[in-house]
Amino acid sequence: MNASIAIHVEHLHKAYGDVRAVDDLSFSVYRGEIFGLLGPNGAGKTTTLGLLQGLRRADAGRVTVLGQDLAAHAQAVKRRIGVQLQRTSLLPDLTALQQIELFAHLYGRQINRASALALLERVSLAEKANALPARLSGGQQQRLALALALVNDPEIVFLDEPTAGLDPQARRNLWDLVRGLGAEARTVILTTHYLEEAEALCHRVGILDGGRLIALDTPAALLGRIAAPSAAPHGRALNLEEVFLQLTGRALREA
Amino acid sequence: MNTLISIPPARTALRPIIQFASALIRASLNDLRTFAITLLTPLFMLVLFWVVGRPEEPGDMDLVAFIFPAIVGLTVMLGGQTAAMRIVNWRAQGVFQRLAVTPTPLGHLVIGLGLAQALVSAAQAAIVLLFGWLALGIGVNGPGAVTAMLVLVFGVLAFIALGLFLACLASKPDVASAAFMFTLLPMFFLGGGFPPHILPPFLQTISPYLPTAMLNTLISPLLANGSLPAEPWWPMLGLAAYTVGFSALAAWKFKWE
Repeated sequence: MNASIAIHVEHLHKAYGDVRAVDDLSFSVYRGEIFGLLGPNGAGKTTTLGLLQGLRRADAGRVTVLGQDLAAHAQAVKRRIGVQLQRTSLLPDLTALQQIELFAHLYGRQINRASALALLERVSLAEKANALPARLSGGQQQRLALALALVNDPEIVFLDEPTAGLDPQARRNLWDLVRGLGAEARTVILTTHYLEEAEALCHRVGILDGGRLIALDTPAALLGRIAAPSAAPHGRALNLEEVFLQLTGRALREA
Repeated sequence: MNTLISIPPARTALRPIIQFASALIRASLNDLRTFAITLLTPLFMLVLFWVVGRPEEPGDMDLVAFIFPAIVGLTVMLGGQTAAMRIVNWRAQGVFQRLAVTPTPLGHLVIGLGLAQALVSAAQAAIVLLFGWLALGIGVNGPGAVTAMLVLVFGVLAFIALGLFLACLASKPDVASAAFMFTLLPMFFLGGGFPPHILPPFLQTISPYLPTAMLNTLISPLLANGSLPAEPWWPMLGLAAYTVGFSALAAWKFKWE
């Protein structure tokens, strides 16, 4: 396999009962790339991430992460990836600093207090080191979850809707952090509802619908497919729904 | 998703288990209010029986001395409920999913959770025992009380295993709480809360096989006169069997989401 490929997905399938959450998905993500997965609720983004992270088992298909077959080497792959879930899912009774120390241990790493504080400093939470999650704002909880995703110095970072529910300032703050990860040549895979966000952060984006990949290109190329006047009424930013509707269209759905 | 908890190889498993247990004990120390609230029920019952159950005349039954070992046992039972609630809450809050993204197998972490709760429950049982002994003046044999604390480990593990199993069956925290109370109260009263001779014959037949009765059989004579019962191995083996059985069922039924 090409050494520049971080993740290679081949004909991935996952169903829950009669619902095909992921349907014959194939794509590659390159090392150092910030890759966005877009789609409406129920498109299969989170299920796809779960399959790539080794949290869920595929019904069929193959995932290779950093050159390792995920099905055969899930634990080894988990040591090399960092995951921020859609929900922050923090341990409720541990302080921010204690969470960092615990998760470092769960990755088999020793971490001293200075290093843990430095990681909190990186996400602008050093002053909240002794705060419990309930004392953190939504944005601060997301930043702590991002710090936990970085505690093992991962080569690939998965971010599942990292800015959902955040105010604009907190969203921009998180964007800066994601750009910082890209600048460190880490591979980042993020899901989002917002094409604006994907355009600002991602080198390439894939659009999912009904578990299928219906488009994969750079944000500029995707936006270029859309008739600009109808796509951005009243001068506001495009949203996924508008782009998504135009990209998919009835003709494609019926094909 | 159903996840069968694998039994970890001892050497590789030990470190994350201990580190996770240490973190959860720190979490308990961060949340002393919950630690104290969990103690309220046994302490309240102890005070209640102390107020109403003291013998008024020579020859009267010393109800508080009779029920004291069962209340100490109740304290460790409540530890099982805490473990059950924590698992169900973590499942609902996505904490298990958060833990599952790390390379440490969830089975190791559940064992760590059980270990942490066992130590917290043992500390709570010691507080109840000391409160009854020193604050209420309930007659306790000193060396026997120390041995009772060691023997309590059998009960702590059995009730935490029961809690883990019930947590695997319950989908929501309130269901887990109700299910545990449904098992807790009958076991408390049938396994030492009521004098056996007042029970109907068929319940007298059943009650010795309850984990509460086994624990009571072990610690009652220790607290009263410092001696173990004539055949201590049977209740010890019984509690160990409950621990293994409930743990196996929990491993079989465990769901992280």
